[in-house]
Amino acid sequence: MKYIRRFLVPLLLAVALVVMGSLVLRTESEVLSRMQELSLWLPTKYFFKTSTIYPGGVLTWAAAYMTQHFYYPALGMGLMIVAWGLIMFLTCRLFRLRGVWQGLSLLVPLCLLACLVQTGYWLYYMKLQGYPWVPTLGILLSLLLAMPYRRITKLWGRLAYMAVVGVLGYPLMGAWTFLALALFLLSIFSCDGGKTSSRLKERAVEGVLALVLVAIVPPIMLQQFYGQVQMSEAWWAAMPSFQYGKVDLLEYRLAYYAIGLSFLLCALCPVCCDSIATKKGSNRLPAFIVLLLLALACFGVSKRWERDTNFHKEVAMNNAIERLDWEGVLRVSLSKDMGEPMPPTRVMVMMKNLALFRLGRAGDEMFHYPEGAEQQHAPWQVRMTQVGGKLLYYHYGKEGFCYRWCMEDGVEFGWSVDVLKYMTKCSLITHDWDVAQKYIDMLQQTTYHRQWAEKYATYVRHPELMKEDEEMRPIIPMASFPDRLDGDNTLVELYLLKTFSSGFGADPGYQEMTLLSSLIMKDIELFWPRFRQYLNMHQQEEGFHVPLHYQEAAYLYSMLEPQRPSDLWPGMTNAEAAERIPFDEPVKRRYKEFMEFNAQCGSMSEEQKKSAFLPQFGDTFYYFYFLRRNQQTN
Amino acid sequence: MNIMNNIIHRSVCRDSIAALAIFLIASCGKPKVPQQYADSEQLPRVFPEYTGVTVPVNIAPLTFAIQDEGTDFVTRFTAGGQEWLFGGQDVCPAPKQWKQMVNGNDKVMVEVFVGQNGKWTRKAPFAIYVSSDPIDPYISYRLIAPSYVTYEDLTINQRCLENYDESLIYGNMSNSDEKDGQCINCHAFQQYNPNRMQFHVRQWLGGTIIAYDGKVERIDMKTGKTVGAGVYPAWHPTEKFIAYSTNHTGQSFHTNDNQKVEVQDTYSDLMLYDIDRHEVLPLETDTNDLDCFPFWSPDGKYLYYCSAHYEKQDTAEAVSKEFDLIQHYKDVKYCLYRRPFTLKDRSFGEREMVFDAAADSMSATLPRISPDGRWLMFTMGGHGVFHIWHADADLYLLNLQSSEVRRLDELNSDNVESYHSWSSNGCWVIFSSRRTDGNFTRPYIAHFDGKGRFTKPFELPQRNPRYHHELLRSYNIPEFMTGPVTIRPQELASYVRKDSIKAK
Repeated sequence: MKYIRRFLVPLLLAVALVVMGSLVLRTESEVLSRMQELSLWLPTKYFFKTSTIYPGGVLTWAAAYMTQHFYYPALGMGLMIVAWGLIMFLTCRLFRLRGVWQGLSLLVPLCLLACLVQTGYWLYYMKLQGYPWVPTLGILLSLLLAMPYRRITKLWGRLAYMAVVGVLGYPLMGAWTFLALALFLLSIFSCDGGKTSSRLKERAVEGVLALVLVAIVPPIMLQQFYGQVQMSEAWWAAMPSFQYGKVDLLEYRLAYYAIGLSFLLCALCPVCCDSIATKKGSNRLPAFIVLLLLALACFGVSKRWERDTNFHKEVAMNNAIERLDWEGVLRVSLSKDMGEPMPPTRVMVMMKNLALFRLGRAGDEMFHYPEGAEQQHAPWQVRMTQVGGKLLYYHYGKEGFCYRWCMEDGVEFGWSVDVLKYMTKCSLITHDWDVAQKYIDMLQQTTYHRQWAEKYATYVRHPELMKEDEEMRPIIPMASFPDRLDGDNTLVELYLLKTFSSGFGADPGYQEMTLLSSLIMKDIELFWPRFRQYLNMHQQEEGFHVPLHYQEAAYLYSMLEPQRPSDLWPGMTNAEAAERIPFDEPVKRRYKEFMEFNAQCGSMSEEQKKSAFLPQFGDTFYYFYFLRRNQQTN
Repeated sequence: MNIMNNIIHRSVCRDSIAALAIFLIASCGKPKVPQQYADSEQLPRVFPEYTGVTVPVNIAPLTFAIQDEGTDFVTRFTAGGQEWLFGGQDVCPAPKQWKQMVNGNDKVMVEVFVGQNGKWTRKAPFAIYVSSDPIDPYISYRLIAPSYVTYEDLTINQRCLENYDESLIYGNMSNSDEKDGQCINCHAFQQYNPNRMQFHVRQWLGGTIIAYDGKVERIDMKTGKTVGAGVYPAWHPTEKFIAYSTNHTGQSFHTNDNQKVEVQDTYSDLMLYDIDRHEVLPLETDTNDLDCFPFWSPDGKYLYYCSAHYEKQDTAEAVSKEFDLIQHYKDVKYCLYRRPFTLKDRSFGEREMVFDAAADSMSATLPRISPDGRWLMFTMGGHGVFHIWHADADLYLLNLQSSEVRRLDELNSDNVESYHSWSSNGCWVIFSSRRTDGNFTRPYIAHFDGKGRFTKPFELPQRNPRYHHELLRSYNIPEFMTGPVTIRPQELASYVRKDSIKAK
């Protein structure tokens, strides 16, 4: 029985950790995988040197090393769970948590879980290198440093140790050193059993030294060794910043503050409650307190967990595109298992359109999928240039713009495997061989992307192989267009639509994009010549059938401007030409039904019509043309 | 197929084990020149490309990585009857060894032996020529990623050429955070003097930092007399004046060209700043002239600069000058001019044409005159002002006595050559080039014989020869200095935070 009692709590805690890990893996695997793509770790002196020009650089360097293991989400999460287990073990040892009080040690991993799963769109905007692992490693190191402290019996020894940690810890761990100092004091408090009065003077001296170290070490260090850090940032070194522009998003800091609070509770609760319990003779109070605190922590985690459906879908669609799993992109687009159903963001619509375009089904199915322009669930304006834009530019043959945004993001948010890969591929397609080799050589030094780099290194030596590459094959002809000076003003969708809809090209892929874009732009003038070119290009093909949405657009435009001279048959009007075009019967029938239904709903507002028409006509160009308007892009 | 894979896999394993064994054995002892080897007529592939370069006697050791395929490498340096051996792919002579090689010798011979499958090849030996003309001990430069709109940490650094020590002069992050960012640019020194320096801070705490013999000020040069604050600076060689061009600069992006971006001025003029009086004196010019990149003659009597005459081609009012320039960016051609300067009344005379590049449908920028006043080096490309993004940009030399112009083929490459600067003794030039990869600018140094000829340039040596291959930043505005800047970056940062002085 004693044996069971002794191991029951640790066993339950271990189970809790495994549950936490499994939960993350079940819901966040795609996000974890993206996290590592958006980070970088290289085993070179230069990489280490650049990491350590800021205080806490060694910690962030180590964290970036650990982050790369999310390449296999289960491996990365497994390592993190082990680290969290170690944190719990050290917490119990440090604060001498026994019996049911050991449950308190789960508070810190719960905070760490919140730090991880609250990330959301910070995924693309976080500047701190290795941020998924920074708090875990920061706490682990702080605990390890705190372990010997209370074993030092002499006051001067403790003070000397504290001073050494305070001074040397700052360059290595940044602000996490302050946590280590706090843990020193808390561990002593816990060691005293709360009876500090006997050594009040000693404790006061230790407390004062800790405060002095916190106050003076960062500014002195900055003044002497770090010429690249602003003084106000000194006390936040190696901590993630949740400031976007002028806005400081405090809610993201809560999980970090909760870490400090958790340690405080670990130190205080057993000391305070045990004395109450002893007086009252109750032994249920500790269990009650532990369960209450854990329940509160779980509640906190659930509140901070970023569950936004669109965020997860965007990430999953992005990952599917990276794997060239076009059907997978469409599956995610339609999936109802990824959270509360909601209208898609523009980037989701564009990724879906890209998938359909690659599969050759855009003209038939483009409007069969959810449409919308939902804003991303983030307290700031998320831009497509950071989320999905580079990928879209790359696949649509706008390599210069893809490269540009990779460079901009690399500079602003830190270099990552993701941007290096896109810069490599863009450079290869634009025959910028030397710089492609530079990026390939960097990627070859990574732990998990060597194989990728080797594949593309072959293309530097044998460019002719690029034409056989499944991914590059359709891109290369689309990237062959005359150069001009331009700018996208960060509006990826608008730029793509405008340039394609006004373009002409002999490549079938490029040509179809011009037609699709003119369709989405609802520009009748641009549509007809591109439709004509499309017909000329394909009508001799065996089994050729004009895709549904192109037919719908042609039929609709013919009906809207019946007397306009036809672009297809010179000398005829649109109405006359429409008679000669073999439109599919459903195309004409649904147009008629649409117009009849419209007549029935004459008194409805546009918003009411949107809902009324959606079930019956949501998958038609007619609905898109008349009822999907003013969709804002970003 | 599986059998083939197994065979390949096994052979790879075997080779790897053999290579590892050789490596371990090799690393246990000192490198030895193989007793038997075949001679190759090909030069070894080394990075950076140091074959046949000329270096100053006081330069830091030239380190390089051998890029030839092989498993074992031995490199022999010989000079003055002595030899030094190095094993491995990265050849990094120690400073002491390097000094022994270059001191008193006019060349160092380098032989690279490459071993593969137990057979050794000696690549064609090459020389590193040593010039007894010393080079200024320091250079300064800005390190910046070749991005377009965004920036994060930018630094103006200084580097001792006699060793590898690099340190910060000023870093923008010391006064930047997420709310308020700061860009820094255009560092310049009066006559190579590190105590007389200026650089600009843009946006947050913006202004021009001028340090003059220990006195540091932040100047707000926006006076309304010119289109904006000073941009490209040129210190008067002796007086407390700085000439600036003042520019409205924009950029647009190539949709399908590896030159990636076109940076253009829509307006630019020249102005003179009087340091003591805190006064801006605009130079009157035609509003259709785009004046840029001033530089003083060594005697301070002339201000050289480049200028393009551009009149809006599309006369429609709705078309802005910016848009018009973007549409016709290839028609903007800069020529070199100079204007006489009278110190007494701080006035400039009429402009004189120095080199009419537009006549050859070219665009010449960045005039830089040698300290003896005889030579003018400039950059010329097919169009525009910002040649660092123009692959056709090359360096040219104008003999100011004979007006003869020569393209410096011994310095140029197939890629960009742009910013350049003479050493204080006029024996060396440092210039920016993108020859390595077309995207990242690296500084190259070449010896000048005083008669119009340069030797093959060498890339700024680094302790780790692969450093520049991994570095994702460009070197911007490499300038020689006679010593290091001694004001600490933190001190400069505190001056940046101080109130600015409004120029008159």
